Amino acid sequence: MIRAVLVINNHGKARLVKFYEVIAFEKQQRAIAECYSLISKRSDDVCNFLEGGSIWGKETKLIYRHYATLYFVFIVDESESELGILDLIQVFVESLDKCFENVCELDLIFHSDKVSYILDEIIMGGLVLETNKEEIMQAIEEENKLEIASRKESLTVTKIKR
Amino acid sequence: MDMRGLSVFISEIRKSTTKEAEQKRVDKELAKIRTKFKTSANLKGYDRKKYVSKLLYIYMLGYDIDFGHIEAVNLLSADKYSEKHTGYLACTLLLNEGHELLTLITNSIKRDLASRDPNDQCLGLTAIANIGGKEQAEALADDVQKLLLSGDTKLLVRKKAALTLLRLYRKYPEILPPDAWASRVIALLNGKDLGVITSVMSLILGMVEKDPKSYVEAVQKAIRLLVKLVLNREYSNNYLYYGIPAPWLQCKLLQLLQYYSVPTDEGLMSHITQVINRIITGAERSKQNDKNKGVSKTNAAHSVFFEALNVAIHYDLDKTVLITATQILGKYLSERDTNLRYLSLDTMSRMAYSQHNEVIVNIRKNQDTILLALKDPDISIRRRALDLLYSMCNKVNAGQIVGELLSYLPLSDYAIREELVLKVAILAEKFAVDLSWYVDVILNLVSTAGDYVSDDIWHRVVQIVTNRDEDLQSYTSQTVFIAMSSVAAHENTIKLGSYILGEFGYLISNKEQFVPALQLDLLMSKFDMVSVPTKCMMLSAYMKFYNLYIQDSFVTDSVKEIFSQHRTFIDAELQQRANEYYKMIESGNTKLLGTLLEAMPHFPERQSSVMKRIQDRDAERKRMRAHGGEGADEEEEEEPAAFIAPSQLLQQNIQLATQAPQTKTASLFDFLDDGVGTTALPNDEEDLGYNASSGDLSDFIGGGASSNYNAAPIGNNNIGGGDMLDEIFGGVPAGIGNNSSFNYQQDYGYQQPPQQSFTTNLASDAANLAAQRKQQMGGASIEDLMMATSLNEQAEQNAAVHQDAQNKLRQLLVSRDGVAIEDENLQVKFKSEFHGNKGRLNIFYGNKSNQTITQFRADVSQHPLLDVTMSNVTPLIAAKAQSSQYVNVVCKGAFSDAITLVLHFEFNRKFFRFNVKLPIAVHKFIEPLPLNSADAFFAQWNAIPKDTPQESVRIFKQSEQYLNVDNTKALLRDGFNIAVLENIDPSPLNVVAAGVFFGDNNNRTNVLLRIQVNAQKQVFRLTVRSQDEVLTQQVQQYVQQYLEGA
Repeated sequence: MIRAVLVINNHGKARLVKFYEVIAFEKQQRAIAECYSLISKRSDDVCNFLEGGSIWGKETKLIYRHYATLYFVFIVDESESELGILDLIQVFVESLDKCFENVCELDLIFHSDKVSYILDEIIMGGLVLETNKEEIMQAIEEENKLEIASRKESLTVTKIKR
Repeated sequence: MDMRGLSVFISEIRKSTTKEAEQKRVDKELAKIRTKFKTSANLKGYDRKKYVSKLLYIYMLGYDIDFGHIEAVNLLSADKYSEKHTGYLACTLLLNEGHELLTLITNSIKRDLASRDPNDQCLGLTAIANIGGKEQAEALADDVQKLLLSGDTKLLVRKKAALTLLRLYRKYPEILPPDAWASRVIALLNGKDLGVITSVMSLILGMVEKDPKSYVEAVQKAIRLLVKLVLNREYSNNYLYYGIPAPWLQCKLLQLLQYYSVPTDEGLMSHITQVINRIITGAERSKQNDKNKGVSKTNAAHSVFFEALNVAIHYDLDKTVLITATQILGKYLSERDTNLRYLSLDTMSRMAYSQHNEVIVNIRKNQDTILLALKDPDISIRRRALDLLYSMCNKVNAGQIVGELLSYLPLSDYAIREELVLKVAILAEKFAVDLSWYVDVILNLVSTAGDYVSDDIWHRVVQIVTNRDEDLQSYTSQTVFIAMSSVAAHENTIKLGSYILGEFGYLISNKEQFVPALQLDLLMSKFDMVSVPTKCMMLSAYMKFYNLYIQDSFVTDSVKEIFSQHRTFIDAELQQRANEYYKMIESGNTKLLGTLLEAMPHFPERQSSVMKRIQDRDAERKRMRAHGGEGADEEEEEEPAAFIAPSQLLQQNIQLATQAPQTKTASLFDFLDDGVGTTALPNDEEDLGYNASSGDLSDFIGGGASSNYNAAPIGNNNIGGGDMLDEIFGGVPAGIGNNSSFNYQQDYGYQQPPQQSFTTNLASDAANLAAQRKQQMGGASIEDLMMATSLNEQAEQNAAVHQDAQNKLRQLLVSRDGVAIEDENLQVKFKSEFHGNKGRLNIFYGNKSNQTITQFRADVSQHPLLDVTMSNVTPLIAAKAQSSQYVNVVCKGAFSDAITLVLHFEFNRKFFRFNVKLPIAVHKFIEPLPLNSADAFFAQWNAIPKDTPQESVRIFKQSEQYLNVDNTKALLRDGFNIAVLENIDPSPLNVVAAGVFFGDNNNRTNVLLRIQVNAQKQVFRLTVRSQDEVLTQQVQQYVQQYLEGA
C-alpha cells in the first residue's frame, strides 16, 4: 500500500502533496519536512530506498527518484515491491512529460490540479491502478476533452514563459 | 486550470522573497476569498472553481485551510465537468475520512455512481477510494459492487471499482462476506484485460490478508496466470514494460502465493517451480544482455525476480533454485547499482534461514563483501548489511562477525547504534563457545557504547553468570574489576560491577590485587559520580560486602560509615536503604544478616528478554504475508534459548515466589529478574495487576523516589478474592522492593525517619494546578449534558447500583480491597496500599458482559488537601476483559470530604455514568503508634486540653457486634490501622488506642482514642484527642459510625 506521494523541490517546497490515509495537517507538514531533510542529504549515487523516519515508523520505506529540481517520493509499506514502485515513479514522470511536453517544475506549480488528475489515473486510494502509459494517457485525454467541452476554452496547455 | 486569476496569484506568490511576504500575500488572498464566499450568494460556477483552486494551491504551500469546504462540496453537483472535477479534487484533498461534511458528499457520489456517463462514475469512485470510510461503505458498497460485476461497465471503471471496493472492504469488511463473494471475485481473474486483472488482484490480496482460508481457490488461478505470462508469453503487447509482461501483475500474483503453503498438487508445484526458475534466469540474462539499455529494463525484470525469490524462500524450494539465486545475489553484492545491492542484502538475510546448508554456505562465501558493506556511505545499505550479518552468524563465524561489529560500533550511526548493540549482545550469547568471551564482549559493548546498552543487556549477564560455575563468576569479577578501574568507566559498567563484586567478589578476594579493601575502595571511588539509582545498587553491594567480610574491620567500618552518612540523604529511596542497612548492622545479629544476605539463588532459565526484544522487532518487520508460512517457525527453532510455554513459566514463577519468603535472600538484595515483567504472561487471569506491578525491573534494581509508586500496587497482606496467582505475583515484588520497611519495622521496632519527597510533591502540585485550570475553563461540557440526559433513562437502575455502592464503600473504608461498584455489566474493584502520607489505589474495571465497553473515561475530582494523580485508562474494555488504572494520593493535611471518581462509558449504545467515592478517609494515612506505658500515653493525652475543638467526646449506643471488646479492638487495629494499647486502662472492657497521622511532607500528628463502656446501659463513651481538630472530628465520626453499626 502506498501511504503518501510527495513531490518536493530541491529547496524543500512541496509541489504535490497526496496522503492516502488520515493524517492531521500538522503531521503532514512535519512529514514533508522530515522527508525532505532525510532525502536531500543523500547523494545521487546511493540507493533509492530509505527506511523509516520518525513519522512513518520502521516498516515504512521512502522510495524516491530525483529528477533535475524535483524529488518524487513515494512512501510505501512493506507489501510493495521496491523496484516496482521505482518503476511506477518512472511511469508517473513519463506521463507528466507526455502531458506537458518536457515537463518542468513550473508546470507542476501552475497546473497542480492536472498533476493530481494524472496521479489519480495511476494510483487510487494508495493502490496501483494502472501502469500502462497508453491507458493512462487515454484516460487523461478523455478528461481533457471533457474539460474543453465544459469550458469552451483551449486546453492545449499554454507554456509559461520563464 | 487556465484561469487567469489563479495564474496571477501563483506568480505573485512566487515573487515573494521571504516567508513573511508570502504569508502576507496568502492572508490577503484568504481574506478576499472568505468575503467572496460570504457575500456573493450567487457565485458563478467559474468563480467558485477559481477560488477553490486557489485554496488548494495555498493548502499545498503548507497553510491549513479552515473554510471553503462547503464550496468544494457545492461544486460536486455542478453541471460542468471541469467544475465538478475541481470539486472532487478539493474534497479528496481537504476532507479527511471522518470529516463532518463527508455525509453531504455521499449523496453526490451516489448520484454520480448511478450516472450513465463513465466519467462521472470515475469521479465518484476516485473520491470514495481516497476518503471513504465506514459510512460510505454502508451507503455505497452496493453501487460499487454493481459497477464491478456488471457487463456494461467500461474497463476503466471496472478497474477503479475493484480498488474502491478494497478501500471500503478495509474500512468495513462486512460488505464482502466471503461465502457470497470469494468465487465471484476470483472469477474476475478469468477476464482478458490485464489492467482489470491487476486491480482485481489488489482486491483479492487485500481480502486474503484478512482471511486467507476463504480464498484458497485463487492460488491455482494465480499460478495459471503466471504460466501464461512467463512461460507461454501470452499477453497483449500494451502491457509489456521494457520487455517484461505486466511486471506489477506478476509481483502481485507472486505475493499471493506467499500467503499459502506449498501447493499439494504436483502439477501446480512443477508449474510454479518452472515459473520461478524462468524468472530467476531471465533476470540474470537481462542484466548481462542489456548493460547499455538503461536501468528501467533491469528494474522491471528484477522487481519480479526478487518477488519470485520471496516465494522460493517461502516454499524453501528445491535447493538448486536457491543456490543459483544465492550465486546471482552474490554477484549483485559487488554491483555498482546500489538498489540491487540493497535488495540483495535484504533478500539474503531472509535466505539465511533456509534449511539447506549449501544455501547458507553460499551466502557465507560473501562474508567479506558484506562486512565491507557495513562501511558503505549509504545508511540504507549499512542497515541491511547489519541485518544480514546478524542472520548469517553461526558458531564458526561468530567470533569474526562479532569482532567486526564491535570495531564498527564506534563508527556507526547513532540511528542504528542501539540496534547494533542489541544484536551484538544476542550473537555473543547465542554463539558463545566460551562464556568468558561473552562477558568480554558485553563489557566491551558497555565501554564503547554504554549509553546504548539497555538495562536488560547487563541484567542478562548477571543471570548467566549467576547460573554458571565459579570459574566464570571469578573471571567476570576480575574483568569487571579491571573495567571499572578505568577512569572513564561507564555508569552501566559500574552498575554491573557493583552487582558482580557484591555477589561474587569474594571469589577473587584472595588475590593480592583484588583484596576486599581494594574492591570496596574501587566502588567507593565511583560512588560520587553516579546517579541515585546506581547509588542505591551500590549501597546493596556495600551491605553484601559487610556480610562477606565481617572480620575485616576496614570494610565493616567504611560500610557502616557510608550508611550513616546517607541516613539523611535527600532522595527517599536511598535514604531508606541507608537506614535499613544501618539498622541491620546495628542489630548485631550476624546470623540473621547471614541468612538475609545469602548468595542469590539461580535464576530460572527462561527466554532472554534481550532475545525477546529482537524477536518482537523481527515480528514487526516481517512482511505481513509471511504469517502462516514456515519462515516464522524456522526462526524460532534457531533460537537456542528455548521458548518456554506460558504454563511452564507460571510454574517457575510460583516456585520462585514460594522460595523467596523462606530464604528471604531475594527479598533483601535487589530483586533482579526480568522474567516476571517482560515475558508475556497469559492474561486470562482475572487480575492483571501483577503485570503492571512487576513490569519495571529497573525499579527493583535502581530504586529512586518513584519506585514506591511504580511498583507493587498490591500489598503483601489482605489480598481478597483468593486469587492465588495474583497473590503470588503481586506478593513477590511487593514484599521485596518496597514494603521492606514494613518488615523491618516489625522486626526491629524502629520508626522510619520522615521521608522528604520534594519531587513527587512538586510534580503533583503542577498536575493539580493544570487540572484546576482545566476545570475552570471547561465548565459543563456538552458531553456531560448529553450523558446527564441519557442518565435519566436509567435513573432507577442506577440508583440501586449506587445505593449498593454506598454499602460497599463502608466495607472498603476499613479494608484494603474489594468491589466498589457493580452492575450487571461493569465491576469496579479497588486494591489499595497506604504508607505514610502516600497512598496508591489500583482500580480494576472488569467488563462482565459479552459486549465491548467503549468511550471509557475516568476522572477524579480534585481536592485541596489531597494531591491526586492517576494513570491513563484505555477507552475500550473488551468483553469479559479487564483493564486497570491506578490513582496515587498524597495527603497534605487532615481533610473531611471524599474524592469522587467519575466513570463515563458507552455500553450497548447507551451512556452510563458512575460516581464512585474513593475509599479514602483520614485514617488511611494513619499508622499505629505503639506507646508502651501508661505514662507515655497519658503524657500525650494530657497535652491536649479538655473541652477544646481538639477533643471530641461522644456517648452512643453500642451495636451488637461490638458488645465483644475483641471486635472493637480488631476494628481499630485492622480497619483503622491504629495501635490498641493494652494494660493502660485497668478495665478490660475499655479500649485505649493511638495512631499517628501523616500529613504534608509526612509531618506527624498523633491521634489518641479512649473507648469506655458502660455495660449496664450498653453505651460507649468515645473520646478522641489530637492536635488537629479536623483530624479529631474525622476519626471520631468514622469510629463512631462503625461502632454504632449505623
